Amino acid sequence: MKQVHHYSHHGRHRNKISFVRRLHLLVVLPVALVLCASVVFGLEFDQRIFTHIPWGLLLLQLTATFLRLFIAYALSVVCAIPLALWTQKSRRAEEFLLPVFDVLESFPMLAFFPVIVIFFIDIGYLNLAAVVMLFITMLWSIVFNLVSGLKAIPRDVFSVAKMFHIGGLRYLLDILFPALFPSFVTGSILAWAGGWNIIIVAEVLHAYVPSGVEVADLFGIGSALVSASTSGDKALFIAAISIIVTAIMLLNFFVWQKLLHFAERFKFE
Amino acid sequence: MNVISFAAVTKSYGKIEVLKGIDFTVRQGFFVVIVGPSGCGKSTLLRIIAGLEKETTGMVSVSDNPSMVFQNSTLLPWRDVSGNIMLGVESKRDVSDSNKNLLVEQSIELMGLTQYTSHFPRELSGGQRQRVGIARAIVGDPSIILFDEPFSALDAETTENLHREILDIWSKKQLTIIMVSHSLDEAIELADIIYVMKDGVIVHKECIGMDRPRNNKDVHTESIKAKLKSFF
Repeated sequence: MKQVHHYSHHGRHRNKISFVRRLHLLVVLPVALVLCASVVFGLEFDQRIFTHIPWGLLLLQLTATFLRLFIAYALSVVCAIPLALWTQKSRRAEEFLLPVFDVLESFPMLAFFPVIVIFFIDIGYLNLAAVVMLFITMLWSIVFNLVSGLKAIPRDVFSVAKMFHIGGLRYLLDILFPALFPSFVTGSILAWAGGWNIIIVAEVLHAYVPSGVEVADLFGIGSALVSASTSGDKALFIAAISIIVTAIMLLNFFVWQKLLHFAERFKFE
Repeated sequence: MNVISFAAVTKSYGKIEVLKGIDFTVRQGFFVVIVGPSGCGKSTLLRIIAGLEKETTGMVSVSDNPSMVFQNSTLLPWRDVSGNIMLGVESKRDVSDSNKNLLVEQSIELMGLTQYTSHFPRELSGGQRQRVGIARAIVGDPSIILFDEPFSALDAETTENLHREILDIWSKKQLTIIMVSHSLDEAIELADIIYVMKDGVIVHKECIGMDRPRNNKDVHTESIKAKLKSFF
């Protein structure tokens, strides 16, 4: 009898590192590095660090920031999927849209942020300024990853769908979305990375308004970090950084690593 | 009775004319193999029969919805063997769910895949994947099946076994089969009629009257092969 190829369906690269070891590598180690760096930069550790830091408030600020990122991400996903599918509608659509997306993506968003902030001050929704900023930052990572994912689907897969009359919603749910899942995960990881990167800027609104205009920073871990820095509260600064690093690492560990692993089963060979 | 007929069919992609006036017919229950060098238009011809491409000019008539087996099996990696085969009947509204399951089971059994029903494509060998591709093609009980170079990536032993099984299914189910191949040996072993294509036209039609199973090494086979080669 012929030998069957026994590849694991759980992924081509089964990670053999134990859960505890991975948790150490991804969460404990980065936080420890932050704390070590704080010693190097002259922070004196004593009991006051643990008493005067408002940990509960920092966690609330982290939650507010996370919600802002999540709303921007959800909006990016909703817009990115039709935009990516639109490029594959026809060769002409692709030839027209991809250069347009390239130009739009290359716009330096930070340069436009003051305009966005002033616009949202006028209409009275300051939170939206940050969400729009994050949305634009996150959008293109997802769009471009989905476009390359679409191109990587073997042409015959579309033929199979056509041949067996799989159309409409079933085509999206049974064929297209599963086939795009690996590139969607990659795009999402990059989008969130960009989002965390920009969050400090997006929450510190007072830095982007002309003199004379009064505006409060948004409630969030990004603005807490900047305010701790400007007030010279090193302990609070280190605590805020540790919380951000821990949140990013936990997200990476419990969401992105799992999704990357899961996405392996959707990849064409 | 003709189940497929092409009359002066052309196909162009922009300025490139891939098919240049194809006239051919296929009778019900015949095993037809189309051979020819790469880029001669044989796969395009097959895709037009399948309804995956539209002819530029001419008239195409196909009596039934054909099913197709692709070169690389094109299984969905997120579906197991049963799920992939189910794809062939999932859209049939006139078949109940229990009957669909029954048809899938029958196809699995016919292709000798019983022990792999819950395996995923990457857990299968190339030959097993192609068996799943064939099972998916036959599960909806079509009367015409198209094969687009289905064995080009398989080893000789697997190919030989699959040849036998395809001939078995063909005669049991009284199918009409049209296969595109680059192998003259394969064409002579399987076909009732061989069409040779070159530069977008059919340059020769050869009827093979030999009984099956055929021996690729006998004198008659060798002479047919030599004759077909002269058209390449």
